[in-house]
Amino acid sequence: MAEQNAEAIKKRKEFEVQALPHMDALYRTALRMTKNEKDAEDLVQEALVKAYRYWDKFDSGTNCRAWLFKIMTNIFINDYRSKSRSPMAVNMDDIDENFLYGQLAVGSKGSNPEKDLFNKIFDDDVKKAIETLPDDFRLVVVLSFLEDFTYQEIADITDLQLGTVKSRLHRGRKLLQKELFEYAIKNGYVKDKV
Amino acid sequence: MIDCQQAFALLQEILDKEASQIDEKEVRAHLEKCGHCFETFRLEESIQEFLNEKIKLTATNDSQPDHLESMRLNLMSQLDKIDAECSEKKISSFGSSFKIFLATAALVVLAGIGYLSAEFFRHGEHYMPLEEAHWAVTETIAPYFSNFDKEAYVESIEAKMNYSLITTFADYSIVGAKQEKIMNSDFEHIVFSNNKEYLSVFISNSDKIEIPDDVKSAMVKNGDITLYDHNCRGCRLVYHKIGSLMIITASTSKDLDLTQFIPGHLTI
Repeated sequence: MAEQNAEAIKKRKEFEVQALPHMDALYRTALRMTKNEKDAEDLVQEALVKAYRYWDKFDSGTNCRAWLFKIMTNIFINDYRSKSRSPMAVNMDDIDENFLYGQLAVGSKGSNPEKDLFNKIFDDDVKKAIETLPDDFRLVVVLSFLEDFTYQEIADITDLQLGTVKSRLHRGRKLLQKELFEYAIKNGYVKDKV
Repeated sequence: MIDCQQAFALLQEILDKEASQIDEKEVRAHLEKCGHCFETFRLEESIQEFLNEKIKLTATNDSQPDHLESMRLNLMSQLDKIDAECSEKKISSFGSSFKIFLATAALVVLAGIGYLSAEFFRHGEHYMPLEEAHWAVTETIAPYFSNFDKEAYVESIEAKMNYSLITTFADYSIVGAKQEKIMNSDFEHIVFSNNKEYLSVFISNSDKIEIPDDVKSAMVKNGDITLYDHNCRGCRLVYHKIGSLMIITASTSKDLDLTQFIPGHLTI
């Protein structure tokens, strides 16, 4: 009995040392995914409770952070993703590959035409732009840009093929650029003449 | 030399810091020659930098420390409940057939998770232990130095493994070495340094060490030696096999091209 007890204490200790420090990161990602504090909090709690229940399946010494994100991502995809999942309403043909390059009128070498643009993009715009991305794109964008996971790690976390991860990141990036450019115009960004 | 189209094909990898050093070098060389590509890459990279920074900043601002603390407390009380449940279960002897049904169901779920994690941890199992051993030298180099006699060591490797080590590479030279057990195999871990960065060479004659399957596609030639370059964000190991020896190199420096580094040759 005492042995069992010691084992339970050891498990709890391990979990607190290895998994708990990732709660902040899980929460900020959950916040961007669910777009509200209440759901984000529930999602993180649910993920960590599940991780604790399956703690003996976790191979200590391996990547705990990625393992926790995988658990959380699974729960998000199954339970939290917007219920009315309409097929992707994004027509990528509308997005010109070199959209920003064309818009920013790169004329003189050595100048930084994007500086003026950045000045007209507020922090809140960046947040809104991410939140308007469709779920599938938002997930890989957040895992990459915010959490710095590698393509391979994102593929493992989301159970997607590596190629799918790459193409979603690419499209997500282009959508974000376009969205932010529109915010900048709204905020009074004036395009330089060529 | 690559052209504009090939450079553009690598743009995304460069923005996501996934490009190999070799690809990155090729692209940078192209950018120096091509004004149009130079401008586009500069623009894309500065936007990416802006995005990464803002995304992190806004996410951090939205996570209030007080809030996180209350979440942590809430979680702790949930974990207490689970701990209590578990000890109760252990006390009660085998219950109704319903309990057995539940246990079976749980086993099925666990088996599924186990299967998924096995795939998932491949990366961790194959590369992490070597990376960790390599980065350990930056924490303390002392164990590699203890009673270290470079000439005697190089001779002992030659006698034991029929492998003649080089002692310098670029401005790096051997500063220490020790035997280590990594992934249940014995390795000679040789450390080179230029007083700033470190370079690790792992040599093993254990037949348990193989080139991981997913690295086999990343082949690079250096003379008549084929190297396998595992290079993804934050983790770079270059493998090659010579005779029955497996040789793996790693470096703390990002500027060093490990595919140019062959740490020695067989003597027989």
